[in-house]
Amino acid sequence: MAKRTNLQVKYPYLEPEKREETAVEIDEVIPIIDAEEKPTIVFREPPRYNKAINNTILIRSRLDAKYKTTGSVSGRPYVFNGAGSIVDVDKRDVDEFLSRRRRKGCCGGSSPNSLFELV
Amino acid sequence: MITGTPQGTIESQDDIYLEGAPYIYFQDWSANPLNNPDSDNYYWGLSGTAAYPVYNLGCINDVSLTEDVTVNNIRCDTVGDKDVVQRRNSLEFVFTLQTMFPLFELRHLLGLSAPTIVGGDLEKIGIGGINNNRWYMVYAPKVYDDDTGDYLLFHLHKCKPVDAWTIGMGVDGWKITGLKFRAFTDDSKSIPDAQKFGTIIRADVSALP
Repeated sequence: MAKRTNLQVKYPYLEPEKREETAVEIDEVIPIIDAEEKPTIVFREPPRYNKAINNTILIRSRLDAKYKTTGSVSGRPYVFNGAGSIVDVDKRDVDEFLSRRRRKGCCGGSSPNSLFELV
Repeated sequence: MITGTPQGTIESQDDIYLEGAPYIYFQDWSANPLNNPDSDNYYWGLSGTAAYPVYNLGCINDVSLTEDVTVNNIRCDTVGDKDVVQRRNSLEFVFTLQTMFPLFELRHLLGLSAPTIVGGDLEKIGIGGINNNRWYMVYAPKVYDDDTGDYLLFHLHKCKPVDAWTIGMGVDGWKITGLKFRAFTDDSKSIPDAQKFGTIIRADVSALP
């Protein structure tokens, strides 16, 4: 609405006859910037880990570290507080969680090195 | 052939020779051994759980197991030494580690803080004070005959990484030296005195009588 008002001030409404008299050639359209318009400040909301949701499955971490991650499907943030900690995970993310593996394990390890397991 | 062999019952050693280091595994001491105890009342083995995972050390070398013993002579002014009394104080697993990662495993050996992993991209860990209230069981099996599965293993009940470590950052590869697991007596799990430091198990179907 502010821009519309500015346009009306610069180019007031004229009757059709008067338009021809006052007509001028416009080479290019210059955008009108409202001097009062200020850039918007966007406040990014901090992620809310382990937010209570429906349709969840309990997943246990096997990683001996605090593990902050995001569900690849739901985009929900999760945090596991060390090995053995259990978190409600969105059903859509469960398959991907269970398929996460230690990628470069070495030296005689016989376990599949999966990072998470179903409770 | 005259060999000077003594008379009577003679037990000779097996003609079996080992080479190479065992794997070294460790687990938080709060967990119980896998055999707790076994049918012969020996305590040994590890079983990883989600809360108490078993850690496997990666590339190790210069591995040795030694002990600390106090030796006191019974020395008489009249006739000299009549005997010696010994006390086993602790055992020490000494090794050099060439594997640095992951840090959340290395932190147990270097006495670092609890780690945080963010988004599978970052691993953060602090160097602060040393937590003196963490102990580990250490398990070192060595399969010395791959065909028959003969093995020898050492299980130490209550260990702690001790001494100062050094990270050598040479062009021939980084190495962490000065790593030691010192094994103490464990009198908290009903372990018999004869096994209070640890247990040695050998499995060899073809050689054992």
